[in-house]
Amino acid sequence: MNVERFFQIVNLLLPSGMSLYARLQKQSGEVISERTLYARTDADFQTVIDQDPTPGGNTP
Amino acid sequence: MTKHIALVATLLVVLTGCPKRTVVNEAGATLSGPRIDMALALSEMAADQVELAGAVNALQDGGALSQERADRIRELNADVARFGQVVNRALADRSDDQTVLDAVATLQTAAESMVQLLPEGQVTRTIGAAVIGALQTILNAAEQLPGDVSYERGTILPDRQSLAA
Repeated sequence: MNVERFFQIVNLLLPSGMSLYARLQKQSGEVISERTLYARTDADFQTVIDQDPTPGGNTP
Repeated sequence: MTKHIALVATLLVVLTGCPKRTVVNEAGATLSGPRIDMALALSEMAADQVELAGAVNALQDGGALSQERADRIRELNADVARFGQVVNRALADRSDDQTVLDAVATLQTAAESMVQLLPEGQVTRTIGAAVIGALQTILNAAEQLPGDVSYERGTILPDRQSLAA
């Protein structure tokens, strides 16, 4: 792997890494209502489901 | 260089595995217990999966991931999300312990299948590890619930598994 390729990968990783770190900072010490927690989780899962290129693949 | 990438990956897993949040009810009282632990870990898993989806998009846009492989990850990611959503809704609906445990069992199978089937790559491996880390927290909390988990490992996702074969 050459240097250029390395930095290309790092640049791809950084946004994800920074986003994860920002999420941690935001959540640390956060007080959240039970209802909001469930709603947020459901919305996150739905975001992922909506990106399925073959919708309805494996349904529970 | 691979070591640097591995270091970043490990750091991300450690960082995402240790959030501390307080869950309160409508009266403002702090809630605790295995169901809340599961809900928090499930929230982490969902957020990790959103990160994975974003990373896949970025990798594909950057030319580091083919359309086929990117779609494959999206499919697997969505499969796990569907099962995760079932667990989340069971918790939100105050379903009985056995219903929650059965949902957790299928989520476990789906998540483990996803991680095994994820195409090779640092990003997918990193976030896959984060998902499994959240899953472990969910399973630990599930052990605190009474009830019996009965399911057959490997019976979920037959179509997707055969696709990968």
